[in-house]
Amino acid sequence: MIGSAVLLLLIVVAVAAPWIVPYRFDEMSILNRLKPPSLRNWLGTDEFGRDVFSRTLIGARLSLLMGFAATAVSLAIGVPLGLWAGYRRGRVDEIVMRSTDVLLSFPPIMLGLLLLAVTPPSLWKMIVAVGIVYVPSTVRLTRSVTLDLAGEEFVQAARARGERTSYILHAEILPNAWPPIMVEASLRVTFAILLGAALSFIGLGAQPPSSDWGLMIAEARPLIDRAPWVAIAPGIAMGITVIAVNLLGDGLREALDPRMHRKGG
Amino acid sequence: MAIYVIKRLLGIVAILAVMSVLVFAITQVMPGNVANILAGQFADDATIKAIEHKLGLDAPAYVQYWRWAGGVLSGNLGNSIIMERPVGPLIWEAFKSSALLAILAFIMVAVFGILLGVIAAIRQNRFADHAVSLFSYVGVSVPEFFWAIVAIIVFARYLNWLPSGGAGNISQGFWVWASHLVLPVLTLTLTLIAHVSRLTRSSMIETLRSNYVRNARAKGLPEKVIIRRHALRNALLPTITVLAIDVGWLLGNIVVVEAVFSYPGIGRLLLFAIERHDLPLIQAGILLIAAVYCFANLIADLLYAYFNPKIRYGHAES
Repeated sequence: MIGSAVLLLLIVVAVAAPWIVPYRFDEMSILNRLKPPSLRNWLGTDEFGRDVFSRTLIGARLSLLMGFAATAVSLAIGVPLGLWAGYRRGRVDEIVMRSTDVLLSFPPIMLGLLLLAVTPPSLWKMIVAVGIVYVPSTVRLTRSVTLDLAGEEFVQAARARGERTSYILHAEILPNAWPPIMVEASLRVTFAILLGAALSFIGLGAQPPSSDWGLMIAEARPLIDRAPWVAIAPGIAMGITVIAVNLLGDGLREALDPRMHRKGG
Repeated sequence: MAIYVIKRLLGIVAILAVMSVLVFAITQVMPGNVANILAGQFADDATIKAIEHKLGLDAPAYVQYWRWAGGVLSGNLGNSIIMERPVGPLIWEAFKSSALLAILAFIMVAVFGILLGVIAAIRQNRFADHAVSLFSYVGVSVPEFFWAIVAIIVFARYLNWLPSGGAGNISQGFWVWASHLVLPVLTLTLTLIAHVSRLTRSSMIETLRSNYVRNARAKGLPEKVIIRRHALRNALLPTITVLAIDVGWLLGNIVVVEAVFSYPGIGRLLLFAIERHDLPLIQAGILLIAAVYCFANLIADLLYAYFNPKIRYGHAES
């Protein structure tokens, strides 16, 4: 409950940010550099005199966008592959599973690093890279759910009716496979936000003058002696966002996972 | 069991081989060229061609790969192009530094994670439990680089107790050496401890509800003895496997933490190599990290297989 309320608020703020912030996120003011928080700049200003409060709010958009878009990418690639591998079995399954083995033997951030090292960095490339990082786990989960469902009677019935494979996957298996996939995906969102921020922090994600939180913290790092607020504001914002999404994920799991009900009741 | 282990080991070798091809392919399509970087901004084409020829970069991709792979199989990892030194010792030095960080962080995570988890379970739904949940929830919800910066602000700048980055040499004295390790280890611990403490808590709570614990209580054993001698041993079994999985997480986080603290480990070396397209260094670094990661996963699976039946027997289900 708290999670969804905070997240809703965050989404509203993120969507409305350009209209509610007191300053533009890239509006510089050379006379106002590294000012501590005040009535004029609620969270102070950074080294270019940009308003930290405005930048942090705008950053919420990027962060949420990154989390949800990267998760969407991993679902868009992973779910069809998982369905296909789990239903067709045999060689297709073998090839898909061995590929996920290879991808899973990198620590996530390494895979992100490698994918991003190929081209000049940008926010969109990072979203795709983070999405790809989480494709293997999506594939595995979808496959295992599909394997279970493929043995169910309603699937066998559909097969006996002579339905096409694409119909069975789409209309019979997928609707029943969604709940566990969604629970997993809600956890992925926070991992994606954190991984994306780490990549931006290293310099392989969003580029200046973007107000991505990871990038903001990286830019504030050399100045933490004189202006710690520039680094602290986006850090706390990220903490709140991740906790809200996590709480939402926990709620989702309780609502959708029948095993949790049995344990609780 | 032996056959399973051999199969998995062969699997790891296969994965590493595939990965080396993959990394090679990725570096082939990377923009920019190591020869350009070496020659500098104002070099003419002839100079660049000469450097490419000297490094063997003008050969077809598969020939380059074959040269590299042949070298690795005969124990030669090649030379770092940028630093013009053999890759082997470079990687090994960095790996030792990183391993030191990782091992210290791992011990901290294991000891304090289990301790916090047990305390939270014993004090279920009381203040200590809520405090531990809040602490671990906040710990995982904020990225490691932010904790690193907070730690630097508090301990290095404000209190001035500890250095904010770099690594000390043992020849400068123990304290100098150790003081450089404190903040990176603290940061790594903070981001990983939640896994362990939450899992220990839930499995401890489950164990404390089991019949044999009830039995022990009915016998009149003091609560301390029940927890230490009876409950803890069984409750820790799932935690052990999670600890092995955490090694993988540690390897990922260490890259970022080393970057923040300018700690001369393998993560920073790899970032350095990727920025400069130093292929032999990238290859060796990635393969080493992937190998450690694969072995950690293998050990996690083995421990799981080893302990799992015991967990089932341990639960006297009604």
